[in-house]
Amino acid sequence: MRRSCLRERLSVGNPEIFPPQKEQGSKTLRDALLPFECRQAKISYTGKLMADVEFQYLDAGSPVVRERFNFGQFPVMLKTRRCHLQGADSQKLVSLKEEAAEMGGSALEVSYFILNGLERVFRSVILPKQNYPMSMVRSSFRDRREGYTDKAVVIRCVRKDQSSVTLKLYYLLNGSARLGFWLQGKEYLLPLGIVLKALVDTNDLEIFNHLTCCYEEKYKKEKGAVGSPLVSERVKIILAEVQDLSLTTRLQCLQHIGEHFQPVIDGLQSESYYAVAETVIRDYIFVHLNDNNDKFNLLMKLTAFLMLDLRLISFFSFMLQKLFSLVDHTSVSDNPDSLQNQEILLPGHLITIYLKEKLEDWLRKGKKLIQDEIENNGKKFDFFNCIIVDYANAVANIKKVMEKNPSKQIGTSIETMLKTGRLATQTGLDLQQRAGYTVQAERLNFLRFISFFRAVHRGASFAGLRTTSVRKLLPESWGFLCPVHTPDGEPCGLLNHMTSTCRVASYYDSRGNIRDFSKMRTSILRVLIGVGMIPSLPKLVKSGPPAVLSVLLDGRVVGVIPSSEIEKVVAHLRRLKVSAASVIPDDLEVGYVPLSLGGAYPGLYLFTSPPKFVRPVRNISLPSEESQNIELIGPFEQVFMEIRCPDGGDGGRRNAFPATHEEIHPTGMLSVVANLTPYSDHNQSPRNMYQCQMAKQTMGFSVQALKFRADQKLYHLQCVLGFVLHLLCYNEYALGPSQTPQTPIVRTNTYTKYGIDEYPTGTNAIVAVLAYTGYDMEDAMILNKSSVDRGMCHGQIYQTETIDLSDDGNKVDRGQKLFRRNKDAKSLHSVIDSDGLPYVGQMIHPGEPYCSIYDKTTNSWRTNSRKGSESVFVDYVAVDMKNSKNLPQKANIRFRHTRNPIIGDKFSSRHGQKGVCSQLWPDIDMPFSGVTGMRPDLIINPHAFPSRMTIAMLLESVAAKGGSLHGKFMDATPFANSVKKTNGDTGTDESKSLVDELGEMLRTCGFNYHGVEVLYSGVYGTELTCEIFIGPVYYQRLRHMVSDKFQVRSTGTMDQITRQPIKGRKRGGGIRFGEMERDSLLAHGAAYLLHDRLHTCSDYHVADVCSLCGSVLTATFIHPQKRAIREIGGLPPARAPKKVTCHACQTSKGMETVAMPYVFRYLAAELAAMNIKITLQLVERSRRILNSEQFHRKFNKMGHNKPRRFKNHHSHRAPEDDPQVPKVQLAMWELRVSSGFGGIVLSPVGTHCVSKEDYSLIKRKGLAVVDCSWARLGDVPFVKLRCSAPRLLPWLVAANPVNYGRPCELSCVEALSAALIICGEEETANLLLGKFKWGHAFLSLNRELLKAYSKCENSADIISVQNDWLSQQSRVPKVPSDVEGVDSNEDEASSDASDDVLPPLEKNMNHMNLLESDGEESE
Amino acid sequence: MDPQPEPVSYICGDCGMENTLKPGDVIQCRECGYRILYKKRTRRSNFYVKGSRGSIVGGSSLAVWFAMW
Repeated sequence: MRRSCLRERLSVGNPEIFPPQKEQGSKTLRDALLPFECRQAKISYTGKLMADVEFQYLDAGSPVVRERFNFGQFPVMLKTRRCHLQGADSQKLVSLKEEAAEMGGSALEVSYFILNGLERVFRSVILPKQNYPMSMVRSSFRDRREGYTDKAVVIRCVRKDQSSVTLKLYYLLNGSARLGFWLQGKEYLLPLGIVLKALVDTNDLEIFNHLTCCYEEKYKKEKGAVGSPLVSERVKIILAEVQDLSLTTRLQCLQHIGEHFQPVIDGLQSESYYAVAETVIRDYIFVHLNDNNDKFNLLMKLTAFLMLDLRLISFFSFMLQKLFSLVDHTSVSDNPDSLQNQEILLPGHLITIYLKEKLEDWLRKGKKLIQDEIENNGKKFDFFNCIIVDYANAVANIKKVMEKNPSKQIGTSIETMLKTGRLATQTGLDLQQRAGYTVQAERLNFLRFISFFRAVHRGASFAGLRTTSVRKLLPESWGFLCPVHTPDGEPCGLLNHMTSTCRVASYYDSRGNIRDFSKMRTSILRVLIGVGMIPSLPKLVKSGPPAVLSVLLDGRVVGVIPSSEIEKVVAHLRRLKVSAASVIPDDLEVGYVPLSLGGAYPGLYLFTSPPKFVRPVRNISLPSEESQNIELIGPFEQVFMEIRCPDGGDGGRRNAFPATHEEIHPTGMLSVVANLTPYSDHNQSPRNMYQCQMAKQTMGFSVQALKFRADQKLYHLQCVLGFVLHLLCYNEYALGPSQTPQTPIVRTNTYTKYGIDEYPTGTNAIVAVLAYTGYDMEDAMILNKSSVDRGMCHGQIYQTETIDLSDDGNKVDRGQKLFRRNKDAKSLHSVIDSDGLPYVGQMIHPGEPYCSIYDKTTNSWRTNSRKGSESVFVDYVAVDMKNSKNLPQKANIRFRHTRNPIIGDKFSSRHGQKGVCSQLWPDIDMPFSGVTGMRPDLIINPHAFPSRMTIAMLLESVAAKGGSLHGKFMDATPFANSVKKTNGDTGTDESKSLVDELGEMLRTCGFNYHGVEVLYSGVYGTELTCEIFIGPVYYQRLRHMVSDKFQVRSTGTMDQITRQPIKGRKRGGGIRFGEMERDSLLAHGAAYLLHDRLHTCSDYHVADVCSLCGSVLTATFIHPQKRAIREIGGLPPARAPKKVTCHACQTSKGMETVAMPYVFRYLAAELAAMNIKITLQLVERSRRILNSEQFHRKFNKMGHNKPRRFKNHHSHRAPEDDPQVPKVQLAMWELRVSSGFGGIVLSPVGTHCVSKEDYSLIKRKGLAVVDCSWARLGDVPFVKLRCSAPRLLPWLVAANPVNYGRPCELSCVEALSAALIICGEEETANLLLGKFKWGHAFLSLNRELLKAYSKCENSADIISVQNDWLSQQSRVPKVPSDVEGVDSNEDEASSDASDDVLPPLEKNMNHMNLLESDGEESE
Repeated sequence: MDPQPEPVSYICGDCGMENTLKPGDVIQCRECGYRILYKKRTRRSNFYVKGSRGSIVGGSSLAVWFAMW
């Protein structure tokens, strides 16, 4: 990490990180800062980073000024070397208040950081494989510049410190090539010829020979021949390009490069072109080859620089050959989405390169400061003299200058990076994404927690991609990434999880020692040369495939091996890999790409460098000495290896390629979580995926050190009597208490291997599969209430409130606040203790205060109150102080929400079968077994199985039943039968299927072979008609609970702008009644409901609209001036009449009130702001006198919802000659209550009945009705109605849809037409009723009555006719009629109603007497 | 200010010593100087007479005191 410059040199070295320590000045006995303290105090677990900063004059050979600088607090990952937990056994971990099985520890596992009390995990990201030239075809390459093709060879060159530069070798249409790399956000494209000539001082012929060596005429069309005759033409073009620029010598080329890069490269602006070009080549072109400390160089006794050039040249020729073979289709492109060409980004590596950049920035800034200082006051600041004369003074001077460049920021920037997961960098560090590198590790349950450490993300940039190719499950990831354990939905296929056997090779070996990679390479080279490799150094080899294969060791071309020898070499390397004695690392990746016709580009690619996936397989080609044949393989070599599965089959392999390796166990392809699903090989595959997700959402035993944790929210499944691990006998089970959580009876061997018993996640519930009560429809499930009462699935949520008094407020009143109880506020004393904090163990109801804070400066009190709708218990209260001074204080108050199962809580089995509790059914009403008397804990519907095909759940039920009967755990490891076959040469139980095995267990105990039992209905006590499948299934309680989700609102907070209800459960908002909901109500024709939801209950608004200008916005209120006078006079202010006027028209004449949604008015205002006016055209629908023709048109649209108004049909004699026009002229207007009406008014206050006598009055003055609601007759001020002739109507039955069939409750039109018919104006009445769909029904219902009434002359006659009618009992629909009566009526009515489809009153089906029809049937 | 506020008992997070602190005291264990203290569980029962809409009527006079352990 050096920045050289003209004269001075500033460098950082000898860094050291110290274990986390407490702040100085504390009087505590221990200095060590422990992780649990960080979690509780919400601080970061960081250790001091110290490093030497050296200052030196380069030219004078002066002494070095060295000073140790503090680079701030560096985050420490738990269980790493600087962590206090490193190497602690479980007993010590518990004593340090940690989990007994804390994450991390061994060199292979990652752990997490504690930052601000939160646990954050690094989210590993997939990167392109380092130092491997990948041929790619991408259409975006064409857009680089004119003349580019879509083909390129790309290599991510990685230095020893894991910083990388990606180089692209583009192929041009004219056959030439360009070398591209990114520098300061810009891609620089160099002609390949210039770069080549700048590397080596040689003639064009030599370059030509070297680049064209891969093609030999005799191998044409042979297998593995990658060259083509075109290659020499292309090389000629490449060389011609350089000549065109008239660059001939190496120096000229370097000058040319330097000229271009001099202004770009930071700090080299004043350097010579030559130096700049050297730097460019060193820092950007094939950086992985540039390793100054490489012992290999010394071994070969050559100067480093010449070596580098040779290596660069040979590598260039390799890449160029690969590019040309891609162009010539003699090899295919590599797939960047397959794991073969990928590796993983580890937290340590990202932090290293990030730290490197931050230190570089710091040094650059520091150097500038020193240079400025020297320039400004050169005399005073004469370092050179200082150093010699007065060393101490020089150090002080340097320190003084560097103070302006605070070194502690380095630690902070690393911490911020991990806190936010965001890289604050200029260069981008050659990474695809800048954010999302860390996530918070949730300890919802153990499975979720460990999944954070096994997760690998494809990269945030792929999440938004439309194409799905990156998400595809490719065979290359077999054994490394779990095909089951990926979420469905948005991140599907992008967020993968490593399999249980997959590891990531790191800088440490299995014993935790740092590995020496250069030593490894040297020994590998020795071995290779020993077995016949022709080294490329010191003399370049001029030959290519298929005669020889290039050998690339960590991206450098080290030589060639004759293709006849290669198989032997590979086998030899693999043998050395597994042998403990050899120096070859056990995770060396031997990627042998064989010769093929148009396949992958051949070669032997060896990789030792760290961040790569490895997994163990058994090498069966070796003589099987015990434990000596387990080989670690990587994803690159796996593709070309012959690995067989241990099921005894050949896997479709031909004899030509015998298997050299074998999988250790088929479950090795699954992740830890996926491995926990019992019998998962019997399930439909998506169900196993669902289970992986749901296992991570399960409420379980989240942490053991619960007492010392202050997580924001912690879900915990209750453990009633401590954690008891024992098997309950099946029979005992129903009687004994359901202890939660439990260990599953049916489990895989992974369960035991990973010690999931420490963190159990469910309950063995007795599950009956039957349709009972209907409450188990659609994945609902019935829980046995007594089981729940006994403790099944009881759980809690622990929620911590941290109140830090130093946080709020500004700096001035910091330390002026403390927890204190107001002694005057007596009402608080029952909730808040005298220290201002709640009593531990006390219940706090919603809205109650739980702590009280006193502010010294303002002498005011403040209380914090509980929000939400749940009563909670105070679980614990912890207080501490940040510094030694008295104040401020900090308190963690943890509340406990009890969350026992209620209706609406979610449960699931381990087979992706989730369901919602629909009832807590009483135990006595549950079905019970005829033999054992057992009642199920849980009932699910049989429909859960056919389409989902979760056979494993059925197997689990049977197995668990058998297991509990025999008192043993059942092994449900998937693929057990395929493994058995290989060992099963003894083959005793080969024929037995799993079901046979399990069924036999049940049969021996006297149970049904298939796991079914005879059940009796709990309600009726009768035997259920079929046998019911019943048995224990491990059920998980998911964290989704109604108590967190329910949302209800009648009225409440409204949005300020739109006056519509707000959204959001927390704020008491509503649930959106959206477009589709609206559509469904529309489809039902529920207009009133729709109006109620969308208008009345939303933003109902009565606006004043000017009908003259049509504007909603111009209404202004007029304040009557009289008001002031009244006030002067001492009179109470009269309620000012609301008077509005139009501001635009300057008049209040046109003002009308219109009901509208408030947003409409808002829209009008917003549009007005854009100079758009909304004009409303008001149409007055009432108060208008219509002529008869208008009336006919408008009749159906009548609005008649306004009581207190008369509706009047003024009648005049119509001209006799027009048959279309009724005799009585019709009109409609509304009358004021007070204005009076001279005609006949149909009103309940009348004394006489309307009759023919009134006909003359109707003709003269008209006929009117009172339009009001029958339900609200009491509100109608009949006294005020001034009418001269109120009349009653005789007994008639209503036919309108509101009051259908009710006697006397007629609607307006019915009343009017009835009166008209009685008076003999039947035609007019028919006309009126004809406007309504149900109009004819009124006539047919009352036909006889009306006929009789119209024959009467006066009201007395009508009354008598009515009484006659009513006295005939059978005619009254309410009274049940005898059979004969009904029959006779039917006959009569059917004869009467000749052309009417509608049945007469008596035949209405609604009025049919059910008892009678029953009686008829029985007779 | 209350002239004689009731002292409250805390338990040290490190050595487990019981500390009785008055308001305004330094929050630190007297034995080992540890700074995280846990409040002891209340010995009061939490039977309150609940008034309308969550306000508590009666308060301490109605609180029943008894030994829990």
